[in-house]
Amino acid sequence: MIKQLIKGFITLFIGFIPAIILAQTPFIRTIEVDKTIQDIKVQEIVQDKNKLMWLGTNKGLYRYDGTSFKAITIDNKNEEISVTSLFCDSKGVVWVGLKKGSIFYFKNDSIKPFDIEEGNPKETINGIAEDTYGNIWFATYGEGLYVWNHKNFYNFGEEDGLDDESAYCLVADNKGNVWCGTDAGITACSFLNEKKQIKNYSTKDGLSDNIIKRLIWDKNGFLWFGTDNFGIGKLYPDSNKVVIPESFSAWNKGSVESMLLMEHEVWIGTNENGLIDYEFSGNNRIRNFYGNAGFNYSSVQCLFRDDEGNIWIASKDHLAQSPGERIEFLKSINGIPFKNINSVLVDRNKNVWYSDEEGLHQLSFISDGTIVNTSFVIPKLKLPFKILSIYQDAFGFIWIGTFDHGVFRIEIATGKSIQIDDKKGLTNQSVLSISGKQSTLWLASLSGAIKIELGDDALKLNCAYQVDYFNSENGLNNNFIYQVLQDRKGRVWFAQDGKGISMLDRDGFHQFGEEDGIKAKTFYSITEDINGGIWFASANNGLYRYKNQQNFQINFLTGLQKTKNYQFYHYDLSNGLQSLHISGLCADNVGNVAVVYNDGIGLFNLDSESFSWLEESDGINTVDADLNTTSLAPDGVIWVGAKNQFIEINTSLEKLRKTPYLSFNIITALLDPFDFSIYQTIPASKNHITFSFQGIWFSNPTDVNYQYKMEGLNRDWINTRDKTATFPDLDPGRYTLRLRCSKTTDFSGSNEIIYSFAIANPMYKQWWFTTLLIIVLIAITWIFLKIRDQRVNFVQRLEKEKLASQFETLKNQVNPHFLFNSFNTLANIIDEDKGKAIEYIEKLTDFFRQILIHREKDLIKLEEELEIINDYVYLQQQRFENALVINITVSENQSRHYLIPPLALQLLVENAIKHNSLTTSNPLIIDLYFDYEFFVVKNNLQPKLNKEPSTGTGLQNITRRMEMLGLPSIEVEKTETHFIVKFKLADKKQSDMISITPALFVVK
Amino acid sequence: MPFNKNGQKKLYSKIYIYRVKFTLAKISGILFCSILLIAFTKINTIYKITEGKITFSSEASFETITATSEKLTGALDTSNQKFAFFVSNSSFEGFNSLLQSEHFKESYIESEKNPRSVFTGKIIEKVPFQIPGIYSVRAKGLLNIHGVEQERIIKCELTIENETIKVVSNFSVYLVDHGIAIPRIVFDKISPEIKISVVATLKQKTE
Repeated sequence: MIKQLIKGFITLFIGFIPAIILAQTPFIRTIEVDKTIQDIKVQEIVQDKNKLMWLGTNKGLYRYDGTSFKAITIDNKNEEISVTSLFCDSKGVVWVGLKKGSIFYFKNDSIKPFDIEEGNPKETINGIAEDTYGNIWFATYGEGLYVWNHKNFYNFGEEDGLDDESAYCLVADNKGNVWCGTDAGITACSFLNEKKQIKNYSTKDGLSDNIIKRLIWDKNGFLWFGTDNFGIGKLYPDSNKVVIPESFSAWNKGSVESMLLMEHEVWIGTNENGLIDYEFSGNNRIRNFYGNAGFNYSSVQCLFRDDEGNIWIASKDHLAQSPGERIEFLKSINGIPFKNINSVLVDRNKNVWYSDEEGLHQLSFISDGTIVNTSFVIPKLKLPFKILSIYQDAFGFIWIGTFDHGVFRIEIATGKSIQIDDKKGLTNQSVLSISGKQSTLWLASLSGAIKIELGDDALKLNCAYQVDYFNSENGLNNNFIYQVLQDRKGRVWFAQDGKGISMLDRDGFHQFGEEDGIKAKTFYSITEDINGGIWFASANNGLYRYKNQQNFQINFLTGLQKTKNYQFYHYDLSNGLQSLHISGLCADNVGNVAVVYNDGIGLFNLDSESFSWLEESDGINTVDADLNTTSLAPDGVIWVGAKNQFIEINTSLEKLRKTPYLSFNIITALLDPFDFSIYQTIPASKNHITFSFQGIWFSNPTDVNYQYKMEGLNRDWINTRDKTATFPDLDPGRYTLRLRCSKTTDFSGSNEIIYSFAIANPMYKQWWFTTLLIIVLIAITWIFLKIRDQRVNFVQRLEKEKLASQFETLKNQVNPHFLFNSFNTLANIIDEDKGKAIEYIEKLTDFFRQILIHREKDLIKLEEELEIINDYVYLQQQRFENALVINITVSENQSRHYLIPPLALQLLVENAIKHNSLTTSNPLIIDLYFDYEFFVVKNNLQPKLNKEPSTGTGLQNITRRMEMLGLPSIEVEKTETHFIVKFKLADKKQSDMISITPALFVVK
Repeated sequence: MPFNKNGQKKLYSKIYIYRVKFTLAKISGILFCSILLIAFTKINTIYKITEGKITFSSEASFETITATSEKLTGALDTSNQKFAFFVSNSSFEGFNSLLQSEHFKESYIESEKNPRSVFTGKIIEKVPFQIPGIYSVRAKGLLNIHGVEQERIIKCELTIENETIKVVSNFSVYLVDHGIAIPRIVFDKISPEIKISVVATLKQKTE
């Protein structure tokens, strides 16, 4: 008895070794904005409706899609481009306020100046907001507030009732007001039906400071304010109540430059003291991250939370991203890192118990941000020993399961402990895990499961208890048990090494193995989710899940009947797991199951039935956790004891958006962007379509994969990591581009965006073009045929006229008169002069031969015609002698150059001879000569007394032939004394045309 | 000699004291006057319009109507940047016809009921009135036309040179904003947007 007391005293005495360590820190990683510009400072951050991040810097505006920054050039007249405020309104317009008062806005992919008749302010725009009526408000430092009702621009100044015109920030509420922090407190303004309403709050109303730098609304209707000198506070506008949290009564961290409100914490960015975290729910703890690992920014100008839940921190020279309060790390105590954490338990008072090679320790958290680390020395345990599991029973006592030393029950307040080992009835001294319900404890050991039932005096450390054993002899498959879990329905599940899962219910033991679809042999861990589903972690074959749904089967004899057929779902790499080797499982009380594996931690959400994985951007690289190192704290935080650090996962603050947000950025047809908000028919000439898109996933931008399928072209999905898809030569038709993206290579369940469009038929395929073409073709054919007909007619007519003319000539020449006269003349000459007679005959034959040669032709040379005339005149002169005088005045050139229808002149001369009397005293004088371009045949008029009958065919015939050859018609002039015939002759060029065209068209 | 050294000294010292007193009075008088002067000049910060011209024009598709009034009056207080400008509605001249002028006065502006158009308010920017120069500023105030008040911000240019301020401003007034209805029949003759141009010279008020 005395011995025991001494032991207990020793335990008490050396039991507590407290050490004060620094607080936990969130993970923060730094992003460089624009390497090409020096001294760039991010001043404002906002996210647009496509989830792109906008950064307002002192050196201009940038847009960030997770992988690259795009500079948006502001073309400001006064060359001031320092962005002091940014806002995305409900229509998706991004408003940009500049340091010298100018306002710009970004809409439809371009930035434009806010050009209004009233002009832009001239003082720094410190805030932009949109009220519930859709008015856009601007807060300036020096000119008060402005409001734009999409028509006019109005000013709120001191004369309207504003306490101060120098504003720092602007936020809207959901009642139509905007609230602005000024140098004289807080002012609420509203503008409805062009009526101004203003209400001021100052230190008289209980504000801690008149200079209000930042304002944020919380869910409960409190307006949190950050002051210049007195930290933060809350204003409740309905009751005009001001609350200053006690922790801020002695604030010494300077001006509040930025604030960010989270579920349990508010982050405060200061000017010189870095980032400060105030936990307002729970223990009102204040922590200063400045100087802690990974965070060295003294000035935090802007804090922003994106829709994924990532936190963006703008410091003077950095942009940083953090998962915020969602995941925190605890890595060291006073600079000494944690080593080989074996097992972890968070007790009901949120103290963290853990064991390492040096024994058992307790971490307790103080509201000033410090942590006290207490080591518990258990007298009976001498180094080296190993604590394998920690458990807190329903009565508040801590149990530890050891390797080879049984279990201990420890009273927290005194540090006293009792040991239960083989001497007290344990069959095995190595307890791998402890679990339980109320007064029942289940121990997993290397020789089966052990059930300990605590007696009625369990509130005493040294209480009565009863031990029961379950092993291969009385129903278990295997004696190597890793974990035992009693579920809420009273069933007890056993994770065994080698023989799968066993379960004990009122009906006795059930074994689950391969026939139930369980391929794994070794199971490490079991947990029960809030829906009563049981999860099993296997050593190397992933996860198994029993959904706890009753399976009914219709039995035709007894009706609906419950079957005993348990169904297990298997999760492996194909359906969402990232590793098959699961070391720990822990279900929380909001519907998640945490899955711990060597390189990371996953969360299975029961609502979305999907896994999400903590990413590198969350700061998780390797976990390497032991068994029994996950524990759910009473505040819902899951603690994971990784090898060298604690990871706290606030599962209730899961990512707000769980998948990448996919949107089209720009779609171009032959490099011309077009409006893709509507269905478009793209002309065939521009059938080179390029889609540019982005899947926004700031948590891990490089992990985003895309898949697209152009319906109408592709049959299968095409995988890409590029943010563009190009279709260079689309055939006419209707198309729909289906695009989806995923943060893994698994696209099941990923959202899809589509764009439908059509490529128009090319012009030659349009109906109107075809019709027109046919009409034109018909017309051309018709015209062609018509012309051909005309030509054929023409040629035929020409032919006919020619024949007629030949006939006329022949008729004349073979005319008995002519022959009679000729022969008569010849008869006269033969006697007189034989030589002359021969000459006469030669001329006659020559004359007839010429006629025969030329009669087929359309035109002959004037030269040739003159030869015929010469022959003819010679023949006639032999008869009339001096009574016929013929004067030909044609130069050699002219006679060669000009052309004439054959026998035209001969006919005219013959006519002259025929119709006139020829006497030696009054000779007939025929003149042939050129009168400029006209060829003239002129004879003096001395008509015969007895007129020879004139058919007139000769002159008519010539006229028609000339007409047909395209020569102007003959002019016939009959004066008192003369008969004159004038006509134009063809020259060589004309004759070419005439001789070719008939050849083309003559069809015989 | 009944005089002793002391008496002489007393006399001299008395004279001396009188002299000092006189000088002090002089100085204090000058000081008082200058204070008065300063106070007086400080009070006198009111500038009044000596020449003011206001022109309005309605550019409708069928007709352009322009009318001018030279009777723009008003004042600007440089100490608090407040101003008030007035114009008599019946003083506008230069309509295309006499009938038009009557129409304007009787049907649209209703000058019997609303004899004046007024713009009163304050200049938003802080203008250094003592430094000559050209300043582009915005005047915020209430514009009363046709008896209907509208809050407006109107851009104007101030040219400040030796004791005169010249104001030039061009802005638009929408008839609808001031409750002036246009009969359908003259829709093509009157523009819903009336362009107004103001040129005024202000001089320091001397009284």
